[in-house]
Amino acid sequence: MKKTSPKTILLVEDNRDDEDLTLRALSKHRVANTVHVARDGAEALDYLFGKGSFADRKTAPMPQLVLLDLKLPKVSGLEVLKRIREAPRTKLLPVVVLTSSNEEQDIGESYTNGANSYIRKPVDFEQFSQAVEQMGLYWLVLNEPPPLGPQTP
Amino acid sequence: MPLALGSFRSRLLILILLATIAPLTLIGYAAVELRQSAKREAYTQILDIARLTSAQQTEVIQGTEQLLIALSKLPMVRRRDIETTNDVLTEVLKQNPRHANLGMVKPNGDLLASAIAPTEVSNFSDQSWFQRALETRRFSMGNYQIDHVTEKPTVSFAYPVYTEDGKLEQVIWASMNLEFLQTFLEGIELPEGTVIVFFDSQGTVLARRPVLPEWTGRLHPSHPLVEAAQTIRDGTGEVEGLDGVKRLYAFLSVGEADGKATGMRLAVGVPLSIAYAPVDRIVERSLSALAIVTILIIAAAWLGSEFLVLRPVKILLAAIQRIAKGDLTTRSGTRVGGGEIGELARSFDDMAASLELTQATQKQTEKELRESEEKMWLILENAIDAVIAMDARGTIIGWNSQAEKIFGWPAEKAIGSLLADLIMPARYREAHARGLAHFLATGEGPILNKRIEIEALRRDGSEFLVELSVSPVTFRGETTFNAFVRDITERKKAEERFRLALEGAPTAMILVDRKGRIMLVNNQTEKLFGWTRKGLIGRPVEDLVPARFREAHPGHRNAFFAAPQARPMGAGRDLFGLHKDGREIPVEIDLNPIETPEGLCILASIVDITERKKSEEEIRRVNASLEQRVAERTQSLQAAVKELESFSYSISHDLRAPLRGIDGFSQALLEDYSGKLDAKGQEYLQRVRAASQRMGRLIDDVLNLSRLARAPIRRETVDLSAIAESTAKELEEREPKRRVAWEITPGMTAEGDLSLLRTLFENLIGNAWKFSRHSSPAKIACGMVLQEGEKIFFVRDNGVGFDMAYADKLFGVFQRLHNPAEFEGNGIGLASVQRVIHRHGGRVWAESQTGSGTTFYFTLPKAPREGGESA
Repeated sequence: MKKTSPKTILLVEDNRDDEDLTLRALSKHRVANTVHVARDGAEALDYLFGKGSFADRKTAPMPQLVLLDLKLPKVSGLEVLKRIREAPRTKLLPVVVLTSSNEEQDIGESYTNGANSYIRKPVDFEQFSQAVEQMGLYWLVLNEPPPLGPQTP
Repeated sequence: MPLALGSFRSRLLILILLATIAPLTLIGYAAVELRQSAKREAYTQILDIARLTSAQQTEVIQGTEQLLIALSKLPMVRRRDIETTNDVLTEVLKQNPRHANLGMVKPNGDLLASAIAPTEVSNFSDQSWFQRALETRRFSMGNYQIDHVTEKPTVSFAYPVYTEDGKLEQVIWASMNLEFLQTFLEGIELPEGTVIVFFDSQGTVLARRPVLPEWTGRLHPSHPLVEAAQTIRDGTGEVEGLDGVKRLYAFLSVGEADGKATGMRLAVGVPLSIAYAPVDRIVERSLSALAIVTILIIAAAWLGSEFLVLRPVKILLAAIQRIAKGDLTTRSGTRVGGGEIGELARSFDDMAASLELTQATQKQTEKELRESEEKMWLILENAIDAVIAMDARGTIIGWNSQAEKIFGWPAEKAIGSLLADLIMPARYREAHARGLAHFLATGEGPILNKRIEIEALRRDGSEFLVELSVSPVTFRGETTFNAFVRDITERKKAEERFRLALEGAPTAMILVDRKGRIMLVNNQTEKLFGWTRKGLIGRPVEDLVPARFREAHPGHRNAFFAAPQARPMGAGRDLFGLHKDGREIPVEIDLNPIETPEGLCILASIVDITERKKSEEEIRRVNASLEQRVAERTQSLQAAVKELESFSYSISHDLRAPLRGIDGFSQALLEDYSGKLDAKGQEYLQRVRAASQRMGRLIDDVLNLSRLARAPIRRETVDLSAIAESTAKELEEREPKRRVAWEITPGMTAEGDLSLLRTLFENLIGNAWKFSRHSSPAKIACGMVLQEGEKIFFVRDNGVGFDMAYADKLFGVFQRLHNPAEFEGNGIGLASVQRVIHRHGGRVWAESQTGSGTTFYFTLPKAPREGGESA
C-alpha cells in the first residue's frame, strides 16, 4: 500500500483563466502543496496511469485529490471519472467535480459514476475563492484519505 | 193398449207368426207330397177301373166275335140259304139282347141276310165296319151310327169270311146296341165323382157315365179329352173333361187283344178335388191344428208379456217419465223385480241418483254462477270501456255506466231498445241486421272477436269514432252478444298528431310491430327506400334489410323487445338499408319503444348517412395526411428541442466561464494592483465585476426558465397554502425589517408538480413583496374563489400596480414594466409563472390599477394536457 502524496492536487482544467483563478484561490488560502494541472481528459488519464508523455513518470505518489472539470477536450470529464473508478488503483481516489454547469443531468451522472463531490464554479470570484478554500480545507485537511489500491508494477 | 207396429206386443206377435212359418212350410211340403201320392193312388185306382171295365167290354166284344165266327161256320150261312139264315139270325138276336141287328152282306156290300130286314138300305159297302173288315181282313169294329132299322145308336162289328183260296165270300156283321153299353156303365161300381167315357176309333163318344146327352154320338176331334184318348193309348193324364171339369184320366184301348183293331177307347176320370180330398182334409186339419196352437201361443204370450214384461216396463217407463219431468227422487228397481229389466231398472235408479246428485251440484254451481255473473256485471259496470250486451234479436240487455257516459243514454232507456236504432248510424243498420241473421243461421261472423273501428251515434245525434269488439256468448242455448266499446276520438286525434309528427320528421320513420310487420311509414321512408307507402304497410321490415343481415334481424328485434329502451341500433356496426332497386344505403338507426293500441312497437328513425360517410372518408383521408405532416413536424421539433438543449448546455458552460474570468481577474487586479490604480480605476473594475456578475445571474435565470419548460412534471396533490406560508416566511427572514399583513387562505390544494408550483409562488409572492414595498401597511393576500365549479387561485397585493395597457407584455421574457433602479428584477419571473401554469394546462392573468395594487389569477386544472408550451 502506497501513501498518497500529501496535499497534492491534480487539477483537470482546459480553460487557462479558470486554471489560473483556481490556482490563485488555492495558493491564496495555502490549501495545497503541489497542484498538477492536466489540460484535457487524455492528459489527466496519462498522468494518473503513467502513460503517454507521463510514461517515464513514477506513478507514485498519487494525488490526494482530483479536481475535475466536465467539459474537456479529447476525453470528457465523465469519461475520465469512469476510468478512474474502473481501475483498481484509482477507484477510491477522491474526485471533486468542479464545473460551470449546474445541469441536473451533469450532477446526476457525476454522482452515478462515483464523484465524491460536485461544486459549481460561481461567477463571482470572491465566492469562487471561498468555495475553493473550503473545499481544499475539507478534502486535504479534514478528510481522512482512503487507502489506495496496490500499484501496478 | 193399441197394437202399434213398433210396440213390444206387436213384435212378440210377429215373432210367434214367424215361428209358424216352419210348420206351415212343413204342412205345405207334406200337402204337395201327399197330393202327389194321392194323384198316384188316384191314377192307380182309375187305371184299375179302366182295366176292369176294358176287360169286361173286351169280353163282350170277344163274345160278339165268337158269335160272328160261329155264325160264319153255320152251313146255311155257307151255302147262302137266305131264308134259313134270316131265321137263325132272328133267333140269335133274340138271345143276344145287347145286339140291335145281325146280318150278312156280299163282298160287294149287298145284303144277303139280316135278323131285322132293313127297309131303305140294301148295300153296306159304304159302312165303316164293312170297309174296315175288307181292309184288315179280320174282325173289325165300325163307327158310331144310328141303326137304320131300329134307329138306336149302335156300333157294328164285322167278320169277313174268306174261302180257302182267300177269296172274300161274305161279311157277317152284328150291331151292338149302345144303350146296352150305357146300362153296363151304370152297373159298374165306381167311386164318387168317377167318370167313364167310351170312344169309337174316330173319337165319337159312344157312352159316358154319368150321361151327357148332348155329347153322345158326337164327334169333337179337337176336344182335349178326345185328343188325349186318341194319343194316349195306355196311360194317364190330367185333362179337362167333356163337362169342362178338370180330372185325372186313365186311357185304355178296348177289345184290341190279338192284334184286333177295334179302335175303341176308354177313359176313366176322377176329379182332382176328389182325388185330393183326403189329402186336403189332412192338410186342413193340420192347418187348423197349427192355427189353434198359434192362437194359443199368442194368447199365452199376450197375457204372459203383460205380467212378465209390460208391467215392469210400464213401471220403469212411468219412473223414467217422472225423472224426465224432473222428479229425480223416483226409484223403480224394487218394484220391477229381477232379470234384465230389473237390472235395467236398477241402472235407471243409479242414473237417477247420479242425476239427482249432479242436479244438486248444478244448482249450487248455478247459484255460484249467478253470483259470479252479478259480480262480473259489477266489474263490467265499473269498466273503463262501455260494455253493452245484446240478445239475438238485437235488443239491448246490458248497458253499463260507461256506456251511459259515452252514448248519453241512461241504462233504463237503453235496455230494451234495439241496439241498431240507438247507437248505430243509419247507414250501418241494414248490414248489422244482415250480419246478425247470418251469424244466427251459420255461426259465422266476420267481425266477431275482433277489434274494429267504426262510427257510433250519441244521443244528441253526433257521430264519433269507437273501437268495438263483439263476442258472442252462447249460454244454455241462448246466444247473446257482448260488446266492449271505447271512445277513441282522442286517441284518433293523438294518432293523427303522431302521424303528422312522423310526416314532419326529417328522417325516415318506420313503426314496426312485435312480429316485424311494418305498420306505419312516413314520406321520408318512401323517398329513402323507393317504396310506396302502400307497398310497405304490412310488409316484413326485413324486406328493407340487405340479405346478408336478414337472418339475424329477427333475433335483434326480439332482443329489443326483451329490453325495450331507446337506443341506437347495432352499436358500433355499420348499418345498411336495402333500396327497392337493390342498392344498399348506409344508414344510422335509432330505436324507440312505443306503446300503441296494437301493443308494444318499435319506432325506428333512419338517417341516410351516405353523405356523412363520404365526409368521414374525406376526413379520414385528410387526417391521415395531417398525421403524416404532424409526424414530420414533430420530428423537426424534436430536433429543435435537442438543439435547444445543447444550446442551454453551452450557455451554462461556455458563457459563464468568460464571465468568471472577467470577474476573477478584475478582482485579481484590485487585490494585486490596487496601489497602481486610482479610485476611479478601482471603481471601474468594480463596475466590470458587477456587470459580469449580473450577466451570470441572467444566464442562470434563463437556464432556470428553460429548465421549467423541459423538466418532466410529477403530479401530486400539493398543499398550496403551505407553499405560500413558507415563501412568505423566507421573504420575511430575508428582509426582517419589512412589515407585511399576510392573508393566506388555509387548506388550498391543487394537483401539480411541487417544485414547479414552488417556483410559481416564489415568483408571484416575491413580486407582490417587491411591488408593495412602498405601501403602508403592505397587504398580501393569497386565496381562492370558485367560479363555475373551477378553482381560481389568486395572489393580491396593494402595491404600485401597473397600467393595464401593458398587460399583454406582462409575461414576456425580459419584459419589465418598472425601472430597475426603482424595482430590481430581470423580467424572467412572470415568464416563469406563465411557463409553470401552461405546463399544468392552466390559465394565468392579471388585474391591476396603477397605484392600488395588482392581483394575479391562475387556475390549475385537474386533468391538464401536456402541451401549449414553446421555447
